[in-house]
Amino acid sequence: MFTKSLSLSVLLLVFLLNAQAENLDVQQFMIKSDASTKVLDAKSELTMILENEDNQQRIRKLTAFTKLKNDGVSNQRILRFLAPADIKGTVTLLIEQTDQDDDMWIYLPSLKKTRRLVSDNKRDSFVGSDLTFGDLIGHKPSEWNSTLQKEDTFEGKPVYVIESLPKDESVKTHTGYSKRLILIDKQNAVALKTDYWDESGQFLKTIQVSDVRLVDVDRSKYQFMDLNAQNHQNHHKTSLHFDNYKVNQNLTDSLFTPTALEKE
Amino acid sequence: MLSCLFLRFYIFLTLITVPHLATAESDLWQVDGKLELGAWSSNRSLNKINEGIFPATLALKGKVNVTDDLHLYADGRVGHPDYFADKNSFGVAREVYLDYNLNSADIRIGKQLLAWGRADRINPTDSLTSKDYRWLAPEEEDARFGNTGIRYAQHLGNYTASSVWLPYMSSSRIPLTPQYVSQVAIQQPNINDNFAIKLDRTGEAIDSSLSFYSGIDTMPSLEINSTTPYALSNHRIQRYGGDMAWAFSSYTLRTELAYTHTGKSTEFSGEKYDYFQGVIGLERQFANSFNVIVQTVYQSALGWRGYQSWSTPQQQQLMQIQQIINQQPVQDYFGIAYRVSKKILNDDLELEYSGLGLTSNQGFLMRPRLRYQINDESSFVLGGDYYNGSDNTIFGRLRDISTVFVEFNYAFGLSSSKF
Repeated sequence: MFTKSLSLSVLLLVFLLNAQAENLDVQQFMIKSDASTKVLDAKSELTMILENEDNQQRIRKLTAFTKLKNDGVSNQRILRFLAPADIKGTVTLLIEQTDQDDDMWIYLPSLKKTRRLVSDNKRDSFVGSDLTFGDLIGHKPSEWNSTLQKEDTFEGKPVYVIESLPKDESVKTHTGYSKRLILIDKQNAVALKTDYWDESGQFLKTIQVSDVRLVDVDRSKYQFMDLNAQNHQNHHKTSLHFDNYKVNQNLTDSLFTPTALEKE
Repeated sequence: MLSCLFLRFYIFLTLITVPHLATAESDLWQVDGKLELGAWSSNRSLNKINEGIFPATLALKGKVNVTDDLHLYADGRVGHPDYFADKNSFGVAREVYLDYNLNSADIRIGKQLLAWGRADRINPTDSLTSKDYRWLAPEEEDARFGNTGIRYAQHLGNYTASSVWLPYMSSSRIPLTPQYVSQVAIQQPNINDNFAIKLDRTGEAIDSSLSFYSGIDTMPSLEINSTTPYALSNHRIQRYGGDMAWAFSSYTLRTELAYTHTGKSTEFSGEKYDYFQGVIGLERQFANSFNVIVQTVYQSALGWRGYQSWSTPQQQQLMQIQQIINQQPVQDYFGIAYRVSKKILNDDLELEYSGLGLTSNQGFLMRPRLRYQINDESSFVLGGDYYNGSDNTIFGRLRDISTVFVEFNYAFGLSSSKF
């Protein structure tokens, strides 16, 4: 009797979960996922380790500042390199725009100038890493058609497996991706793992995050402390580790301007 | 000179009187160094030395965080022009300045490098930097050095208004053929009221600026001198300029224009003719870090006279060389400048090919570069400069400094937290 009841309960639970999945508004969930890591503002220290297939490593130290724009949706991000010497002093400013191309600038200390970057730079490697400028700014949910593939578990967490395809050729060209397969934590909507396919449809890379922390309890915002990216085509790897991640620092808007990049 | 001494004294006084407060940055001071060992087939001095040059330079950059808002910067080089030759070593300070950040303004005092212009490498509005065109370095930016004065920048939303006063400016140093070296007196600029203003706007797809400069032309002119046959002098100019960078889709449109009023006094005086210079070009970003920049350059000299119109051979010879040094050998010329670059191996290897070709048979320049980052500390650059043109053109005169080179670099960093 007990076994029969348990079986019925499990069946009911599976049915309810399926019903939940069928009712899931994937587009809305993608927007929720995009917002899940967008804090009001934050500053942190980053260590980026690049490793080639011969296991040779290059280590880069950065400071990062982010701030949400007044629209509450778009992010602004400054990344300032502290080491090694060949890249020290280089600063990038990435400003997400909702209704137009994102703005990107780079300050090169050797030139003593800030250069505006074209939006196609979004598909380019960020300082030789396996992350693109676009990965750092974030991919706008509105530019992708997302569909739920299945539900699964990933490292013990229930996840939605969502496939995102670029809405048009322009998005594909600007990002360099023809498909993304994203595993998103059902509970906090944080993307835990993403597989990427390049423009020609070849499997390109995987980005996986870990040590996800609730960094702003009031606004339910999360941040991962570790990121690992692996390029499956050239076998290059990038790991990113956050230290001293602090939110709600009252960062001023003037910090996120091209002229501020020149303050070495 | 007095103004310069005053500024140096002011910086020294500020440093010793400002208390060394705790700073938010972890390091009170940082020093970054780069050892550069090169092998060049020719120098850039037009003195016909082309049997191999081996310069060694230690470039040092330092920063002291005096307080959270007050920082001292220094950038200098020491080295030897050829470590296999019996020559004097050198030392030069490119920049030494204090930077004070207020909420919406910055004040910078001291010797500083203020690079203006949004076009790629050819910048008609770049009035405030001086260059040593003889400097042996793979990157032409390294040939720049700062001038001494004060810059105040006020930030107002998307706008920044800058005002600059540079009481002490240096002349750019240019290569001279041996026949002129002994006959030319190099006169130090003695104009102290060099000032500039600029209004910058950034954001929303377009960055732009308008600027005005009144002061010495850092590029010297050749003229007849009373004691030596010739002199290199820097004359006063007024320059009105503007620039713009507009990013759209896969392109960035870059344009930069300037009109320069020289106040040329007499036909034989060394000032340039008033001139207009413009650069307009497109930058295209292709997949996989492949970048192409193509720019059109145009210059027009107003009231220009060809050297042939002078009556005597001596006058003609002087005017011809004067017009080449002044970069006005013809009244109008167009040029095409280009830069193609590709990064591979996760940015460890960069290939670049750049150049400039001028119409009116004014010759051309080509500059290939290969940069390879061996590890975090070590890298090397392999490259060359190739100038060509007929004898009486700018690039033709520079044919003898065409060169190939390799430079090995070792970079290191020190900071207070490491001690």
